[in-house]
Amino acid sequence: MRTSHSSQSLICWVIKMIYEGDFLKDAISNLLARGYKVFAPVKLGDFHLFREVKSAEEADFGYILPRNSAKIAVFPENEVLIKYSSWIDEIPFEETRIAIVGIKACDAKAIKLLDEHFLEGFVDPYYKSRREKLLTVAITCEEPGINCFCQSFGINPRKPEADVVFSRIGGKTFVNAYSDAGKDFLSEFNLRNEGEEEARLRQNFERETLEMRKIEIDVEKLKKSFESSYWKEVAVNCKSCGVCTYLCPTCFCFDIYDEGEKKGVRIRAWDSCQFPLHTLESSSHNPRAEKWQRLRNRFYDKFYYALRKGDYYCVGCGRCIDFCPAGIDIVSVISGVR
Amino acid sequence: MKIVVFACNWCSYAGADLAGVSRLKYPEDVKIIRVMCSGMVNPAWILRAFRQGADGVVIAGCHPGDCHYMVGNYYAKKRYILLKELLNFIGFEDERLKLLWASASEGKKFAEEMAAFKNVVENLGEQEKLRWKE
Amino acid sequence: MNEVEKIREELKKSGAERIVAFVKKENEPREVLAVLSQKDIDKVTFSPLSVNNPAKLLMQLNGKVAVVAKGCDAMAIRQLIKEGKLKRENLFIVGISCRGVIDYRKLSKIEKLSEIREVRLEGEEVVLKMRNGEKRIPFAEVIEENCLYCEHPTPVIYDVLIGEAREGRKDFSDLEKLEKMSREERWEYWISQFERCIRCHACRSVCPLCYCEECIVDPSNLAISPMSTAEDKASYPRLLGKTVNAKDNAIYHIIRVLHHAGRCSGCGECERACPMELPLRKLERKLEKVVKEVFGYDLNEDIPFFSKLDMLGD
Repeated sequence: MRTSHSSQSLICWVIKMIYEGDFLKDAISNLLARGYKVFAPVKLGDFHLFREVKSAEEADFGYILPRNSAKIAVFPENEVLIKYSSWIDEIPFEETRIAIVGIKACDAKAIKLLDEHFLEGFVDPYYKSRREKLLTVAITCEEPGINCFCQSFGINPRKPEADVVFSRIGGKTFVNAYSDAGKDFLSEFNLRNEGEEEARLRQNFERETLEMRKIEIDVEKLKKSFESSYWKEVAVNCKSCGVCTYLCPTCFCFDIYDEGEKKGVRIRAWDSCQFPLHTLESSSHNPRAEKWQRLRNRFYDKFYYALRKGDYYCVGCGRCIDFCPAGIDIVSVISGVR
Repeated sequence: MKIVVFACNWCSYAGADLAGVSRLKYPEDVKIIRVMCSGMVNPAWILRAFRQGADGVVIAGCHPGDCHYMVGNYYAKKRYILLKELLNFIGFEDERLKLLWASASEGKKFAEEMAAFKNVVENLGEQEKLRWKE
Repeated sequence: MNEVEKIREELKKSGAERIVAFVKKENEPREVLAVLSQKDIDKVTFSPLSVNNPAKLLMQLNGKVAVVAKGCDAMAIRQLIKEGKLKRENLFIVGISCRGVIDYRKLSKIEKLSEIREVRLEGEEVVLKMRNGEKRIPFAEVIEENCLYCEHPTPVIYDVLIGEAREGRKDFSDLEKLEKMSREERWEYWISQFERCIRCHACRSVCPLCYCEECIVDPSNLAISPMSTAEDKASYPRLLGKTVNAKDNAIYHIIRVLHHAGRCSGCGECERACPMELPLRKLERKLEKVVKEVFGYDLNEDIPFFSKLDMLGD
């Protein structure tokens, strides 16, 4: 595995500052005023969702993790590629810059993983156009959720890989920039440098390990147990729905199809490997016709096939565990491979 | 206005044909789709029609008891009631959906009903709630 | 003997090779369904957090199966028997007279789930066995809304019944609030709900009555064979695309729900499975009401709703 390809290690300078006031809301207002398209968590009833916001008041930051992942900002659920009738209209890339405010360490890491998928080798122009204009403002985690296991992947929930990192420690607002874009962004704010005492406070906060679940991945075992009946046992309760993949911050499968016969649009939409139609070929052959094969594929995709890229494609956010209607638990499944 | 009529092959389509042959006028907004039986009209087609911009949809079939396939129109009626109630429940104008019994000899009735239905739809205005826009 | 012991006892007595019952989930207080053999019988447990419906799981299994079923689960099993998807003689149903289940999401708002070890029901209170000590909260605070209007808390079919038979509620007062709204208000309400839907199709996939192999709402429900020509494929009607927006989602949910008219067992799996918390049961409830009040059909009749044709005049 590649040890580190994060932007943090490449940058020798980092600014660490303190802000007086509600930084996140001010950041949203600032970004909106500068014409950014801002994605931030919105509170709906009892839960939070990443959504495009039009004002700072809409956003709310009292969550451990929003239900959906922040990937919607760079990889939307639906996206119109072309319009067609008697001629074809290409849809120009949007010029608006994009910001995600309130992203957590796991989702921030997931965007790095999506970069590997969409930008290395064959470059996806739609993803690239959005990714280039993206600014991420992250929040550090104070406490983990019940099914969080990000630390198993070397992610520090207290130190997200984002342009700007916001943390609230001992009643003080710490704001750090980890990239040029982040530094530029922070130059708009009234900040003061942190004092020695405060620096110690922050460092201690960052170093603290949180008590959370651990996933044990044995790649050798995975390699051997592809044909194991274990997968059938695991999948017996699987419903073949798309909850796990649609909420997953690193899932990137999509489908392109045309809407309208003589006149219409070509749309790119998310797809899920858990749906039987995902792999149905037009010859009527389906290489993953059974649900246990599809479920197995999901686990191998995340923990075995993805290693070609150098990383596990899981960031330990625990969404798939929380919301699986059948209670299939990626941590116990992978840890218990035989 | 766009009005889509799913007309059954044995009664209503023939009825509409009779209206034409008898030179009865009915609104030109009415687009007839011939189906073999009103019982085969899938609620998904109706919703699809609304999605594609129809302002009103009519399911036209044989009178109860007259169905060429014995009971097809009973199924149609059942589905119609369920769909109508559900559309009303979610706040869609359920008047845009109509069930019409018209036999092959009722060309006049067909034309009159169409004119009346167009009036209803016109009063409601254009259907925007389910119409698809890019 | 407490409830769990009784369940184990009955499952053992049934002699069934396979058992579909609830087992504790790792790391969380809730239970999940599992297929067990007689030797794992000690793993079987039951609590107000045993929420899932085993009916869908049963369709995958052959041979004699013993199953633990709450009132709504039994409704679903009965419906599947009616539709020829399950065989009564293959099932040994341990019926549980159900008092309602706990809404896991509500519970997680009240108490930190990682602290809870066990949950049980005592009178009108839920007893939470915590990492340190016990805590009691009123059941009414965490009961699933759907269970408040349950019509069949006692299984309609069973081989043994655990607990005393209970009366269900037969009114539709949960719909009143929505029905009183004006049409525009209702539309606003539903569109704001449908807008959230991400079309993961979990509501369809978990529903015990959605067992079609090819679903009409799938993006391409095309019957492909080696003989299909390109033209066949191109001209196959696609009723619903993959576009996710409030209107298309509305159409998806209407189509899905219409297929459950007069069949829905009321287990509420759709609502529980929905990661976006759409009030899907309200739609099903509306159809239940129409089926009952307009058609006068009772879910307990032996004839499936759609086969019964004599219920309407001209």
